[in-house]
Amino acid sequence: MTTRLRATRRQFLGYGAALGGLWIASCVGAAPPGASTSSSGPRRGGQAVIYITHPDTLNPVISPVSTTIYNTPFFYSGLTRPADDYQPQADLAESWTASPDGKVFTFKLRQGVKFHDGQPFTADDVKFTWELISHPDNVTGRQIAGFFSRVVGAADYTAGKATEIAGIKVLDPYTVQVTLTDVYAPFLTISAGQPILPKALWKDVPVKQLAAHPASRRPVGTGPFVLDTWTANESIVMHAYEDYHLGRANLDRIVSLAVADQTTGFGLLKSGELDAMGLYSSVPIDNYEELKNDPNLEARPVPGLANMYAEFNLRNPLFQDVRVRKALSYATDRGALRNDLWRGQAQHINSPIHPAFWAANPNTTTFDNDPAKAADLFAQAGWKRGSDGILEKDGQRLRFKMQTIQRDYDVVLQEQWKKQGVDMQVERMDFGSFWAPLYLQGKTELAGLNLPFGLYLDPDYPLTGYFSSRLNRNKYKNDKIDELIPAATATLDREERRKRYFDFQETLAQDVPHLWLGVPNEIWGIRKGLVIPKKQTGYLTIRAIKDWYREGKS
Amino acid sequence: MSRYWLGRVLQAIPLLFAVSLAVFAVLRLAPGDPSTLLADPAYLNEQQRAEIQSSLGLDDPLPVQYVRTIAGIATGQLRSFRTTEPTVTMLGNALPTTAAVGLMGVALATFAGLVLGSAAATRPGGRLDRGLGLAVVTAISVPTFVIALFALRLFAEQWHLLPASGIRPIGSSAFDPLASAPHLVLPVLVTAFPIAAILARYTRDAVGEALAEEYVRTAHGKGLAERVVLRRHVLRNALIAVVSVVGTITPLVLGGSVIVESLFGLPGIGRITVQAALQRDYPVVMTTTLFSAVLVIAANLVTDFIYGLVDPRIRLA
Repeated sequence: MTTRLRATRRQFLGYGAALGGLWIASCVGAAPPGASTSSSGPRRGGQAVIYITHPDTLNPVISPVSTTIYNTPFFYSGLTRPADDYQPQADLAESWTASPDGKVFTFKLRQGVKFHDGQPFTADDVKFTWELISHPDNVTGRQIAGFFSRVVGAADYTAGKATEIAGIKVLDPYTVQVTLTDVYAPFLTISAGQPILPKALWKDVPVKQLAAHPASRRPVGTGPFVLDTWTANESIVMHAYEDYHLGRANLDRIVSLAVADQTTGFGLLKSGELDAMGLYSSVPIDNYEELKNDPNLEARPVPGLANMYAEFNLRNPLFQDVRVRKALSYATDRGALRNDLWRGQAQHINSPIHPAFWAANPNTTTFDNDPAKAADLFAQAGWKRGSDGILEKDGQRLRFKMQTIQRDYDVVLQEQWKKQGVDMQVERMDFGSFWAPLYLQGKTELAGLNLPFGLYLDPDYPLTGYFSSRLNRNKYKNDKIDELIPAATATLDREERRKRYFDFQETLAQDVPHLWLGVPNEIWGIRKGLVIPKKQTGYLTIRAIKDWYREGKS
Repeated sequence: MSRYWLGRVLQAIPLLFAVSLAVFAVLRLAPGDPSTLLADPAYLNEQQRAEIQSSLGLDDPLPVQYVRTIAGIATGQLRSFRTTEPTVTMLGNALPTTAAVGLMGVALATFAGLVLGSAAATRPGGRLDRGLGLAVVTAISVPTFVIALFALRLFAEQWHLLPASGIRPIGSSAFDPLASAPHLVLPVLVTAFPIAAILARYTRDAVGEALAEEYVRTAHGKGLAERVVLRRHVLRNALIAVVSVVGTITPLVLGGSVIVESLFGLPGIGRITVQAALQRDYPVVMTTTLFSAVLVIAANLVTDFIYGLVDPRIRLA
């Protein structure tokens, strides 16, 4: 380094950007809920210093990214909110009815609710917000607009062919009626749960300038907390909203710290500067033992929101034979992944439906860890061991590349499969190099990635994009899957939906277009004295923010 | 003389141009796509991606984008892709933190380096000299982030002596130097440590060389006190070598700020640059790197100017 100092002063330019690569934090996911043991009941008062990754904006209508989704419930409410079993519960809507054909919902709104700026909440705000989401100029909100695309007239409105969405009717100041083109079950959970903005504040802001408007960083909603300050890269400070319509929060104040990464966060938790971390800011698995052994801290694993998997690109002839895919699944020891790599803090479900959902079938068939069956299937498919132990068929070796953004299970798979005569090369990539240039173009061989799931409130959300033959990227096509995905949302009967999802999961499992490897837990670390209700996921834990409280004296 | 300095300043313009072009090119060559920041990439379809790209102006020809970026920085109108804040505002908000930590770190390092280095030089091979040698090797071979993590572990987690993160008490947004002071201790020390070690080493060598000069022997010969010889004859001559090193540490401090600010949770330029680079927030990276380039060039000019002050022989006619 001294010699470089002598050499030239200017070569240090851009040094900073290069070092940035060091700080790509590894993300660990979540696990099962337990029972609460607090002795004193909820009391009012006190504050909590928490770490959940800061958002880029607090305007929910323009930002379908996860940081926005889990930071906005502090400040906003929707017509419905999720119960612990993900049934829609009354929030800004007091009640609702569905027409017999399931296509018309009539929401009765709660009266006397006020936005944080004192303006009354009415049905106009609902129609306004839902139209803002679907507005032609709201290009970053398109994914949210997707939740309203089945509303009559929404497509025309987004295409600029109509001045309003005909299917959203304000019947009186406290009644909204929505007419859908088809039955769409997630409407009550996802769509009607979207945060409502005050029309009075936003109606004159050009939609293209929503993001730059100051109120996008200074939210005005009807949620349990009111923003005090948001200092970039430092903190978001908020206080309890006295008039919150579901009852004032127990805590007086919440400080959400901007923390560089999870390791730093854990340091802050240990030093007493943080009271809780967890949602998308899991305690690193390396610190789990230390967390558990600290008498001042509670370790609480919940199921994470990332399903680790490998995806076969079915354009590749190697993978077109289902026996080869199944054999590779049999060659995979998921128990070893769970116990060694994720130190027991993970669960395997052979399904892209989050385990917290009512629709998840934990008993979906898995072809797991059976070397004999793997060898047998390879043989049936015509692959025989060559002189160096690698499988061969017609002079071709079973050799392929895994392009991966997961830097954990890739080498374990490589090792496990090698024993079965599979020669897999691993190419580790960063997200930017992997996603748009390679994966979306269908140019990967075996793709190593994770399925983000469980953040939206209905199991439908990731399914169409990842598994329908119309939108998936690995050329997987099964007509039954293509029918089941929409069929599962086409009834409001949850039992019937569950059956269709079970069918979907089993059908997908038998085709093995993906290898589901495990869902690492999201580990919450909580300083004793702060009581956080136990919920199935980190997101639901945040949604219960009003029930968090401090024990004893503040 | 003033023509010379004017020339030096003018030389900076093509240099800045080259730097900005290089950064712009590197950013665009790096794979990745800013539109995935604004939407959920997992569910982003091609048409939505194109719409977002277009709303960010990313579908314009590259030269147009380049000119717009530079003009935007100059006028303060350029906005972050992610937060839509003007990048100049973000830079302005981050600057005080980086400046405070950097300047205090350099000041501390210079002081410690000069004192330790000259003390070691007067007793070559002594205990201090050998200790310094060890400290220098440590400082140079152990990366900053390791030192920072050790400091955090001990001072914040183990002994609870100092706060581990932030620039002021948690939840406060008011500026209060007293309240911020404990937050600055560790970052300043970590910033100063490697620089102090390097400076001490240079000072030791320069002082050692000066001590062997004949004029020092003469000074001793005419009966001057050791302290006076050291201050008036040795240090002043040794300083020129040291000044040249101080000039080179500006980029070192800026580069170090990336690590120090990330680890200590400081809202400074290094931290926003890293975030922006990882998230392909081109406008922010362009703004902060250009600013850093200006700073480094300015530091070099100042260094050369100070040469003249310390050593009249270098003054230009």
